[in-house]
Amino acid sequence: MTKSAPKKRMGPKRSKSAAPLEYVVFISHSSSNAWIAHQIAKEITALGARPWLDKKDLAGGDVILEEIMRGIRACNEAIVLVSSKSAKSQWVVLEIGAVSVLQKRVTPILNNVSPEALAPMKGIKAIDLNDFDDFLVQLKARMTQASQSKKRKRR
Amino acid sequence: MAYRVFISSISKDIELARDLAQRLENAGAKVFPVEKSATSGERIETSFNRGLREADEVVVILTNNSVNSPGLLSEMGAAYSLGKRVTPVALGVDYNDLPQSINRENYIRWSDLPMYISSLEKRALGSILTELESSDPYVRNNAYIRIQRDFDVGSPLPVKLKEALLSRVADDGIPTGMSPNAYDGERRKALQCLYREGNWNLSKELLSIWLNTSCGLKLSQVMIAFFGEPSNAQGFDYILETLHSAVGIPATTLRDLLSVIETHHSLNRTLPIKQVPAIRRIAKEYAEHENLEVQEIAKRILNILNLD
Repeated sequence: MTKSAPKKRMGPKRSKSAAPLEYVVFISHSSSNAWIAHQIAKEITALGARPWLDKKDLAGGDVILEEIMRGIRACNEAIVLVSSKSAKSQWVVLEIGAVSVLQKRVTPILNNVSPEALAPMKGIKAIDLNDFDDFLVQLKARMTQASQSKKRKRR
Repeated sequence: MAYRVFISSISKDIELARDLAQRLENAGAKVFPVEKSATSGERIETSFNRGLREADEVVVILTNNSVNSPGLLSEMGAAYSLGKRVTPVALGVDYNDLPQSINRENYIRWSDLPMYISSLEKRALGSILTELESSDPYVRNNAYIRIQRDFDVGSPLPVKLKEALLSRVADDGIPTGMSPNAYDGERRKALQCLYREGNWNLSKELLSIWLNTSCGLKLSQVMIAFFGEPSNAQGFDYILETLHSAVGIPATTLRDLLSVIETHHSLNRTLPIKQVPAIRRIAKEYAEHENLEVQEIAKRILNILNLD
């Protein structure tokens, strides 16, 4: 799976031996959240996972849907940064749908916005940006689990 | 495989969805029932319809009701990430209100539908139409097999396909280099494909072709089709009645009917005969027939019917 992951501009250089165990986290955000998104990416890198920032804002406002879908297909899980501006945005909703249909975990991260601002959804729990450290702990646990099950499969 | 289309819509737009489904089905697509696919649209979808996963393409109905609907947008995202061919169709939505994700060049207007539908028709019917026109009998045969496999019994055939099949059934003389047997055999195959519709009007239409030609179609084949697919009951009943009142049921046909019924009876299968009242009526009448052989067969049919 990770073999087909395209070249990315973000994230650490990976060593060859670590590559098959790479855990990719897709980060969806809007331009108003760009700085926070990059901080999140740093935290995720420090944890040993590979962040994949969506390119909504990188392509100069011209959104390349297929790029985003590629990231969503390549990731192990996704987070969607939600601000008061983007809570009702078409993108946030579209991306949540795109991730969950692939049966991957998607976590909306609320930046200064109440959970009620998002449309209701089943089986998805949003967390507050201030609780991001808790999320990182859980993420680490999922990464360990994923790498163990991969090792087991290879045996 | 039949070509499957999933229409993504919200329940407020169900009438549009129904209209679209009808048009797509006429073009040869198998549309997932819109009553099941329409979402209320209020909540973000996180689990999705099997129809969406199995679809070969997805059409999204965008109206002012749905353009900001979380249900519709999340479903659209799902269709994209599943790698489907997605065609958003906008009706009455202002250009600037369209989701940015569409890139505003990737969508069509409701008035552009005929163009989309004719391109869909090509994808849905694939090469079947060209195969039907082939001069190679093996290629044509392949088309008949695909039709039998891909189109459900009891649902209408695409208009273009139906036209092509009807022209195959019509008797316009044996082409040079073809044996009369092969010619009859092919007309029979085309007729069997058409019969899959199980449609009352079509049965009537076909029946007139059948009665006016000597292509040697056997009622037993229709019977077997019926016993395999009880949903054909109405068409079968109609054929029996019409044949009976037009030319009478020949002894050989009656014998065929008996043997099919006997086989099913000996296998302890419940016979779907009750839905074909013509069988009992005809058997009763022929039990009084002057020909003793016919009488005998009719009585045996009645016996089994009374046992069942």
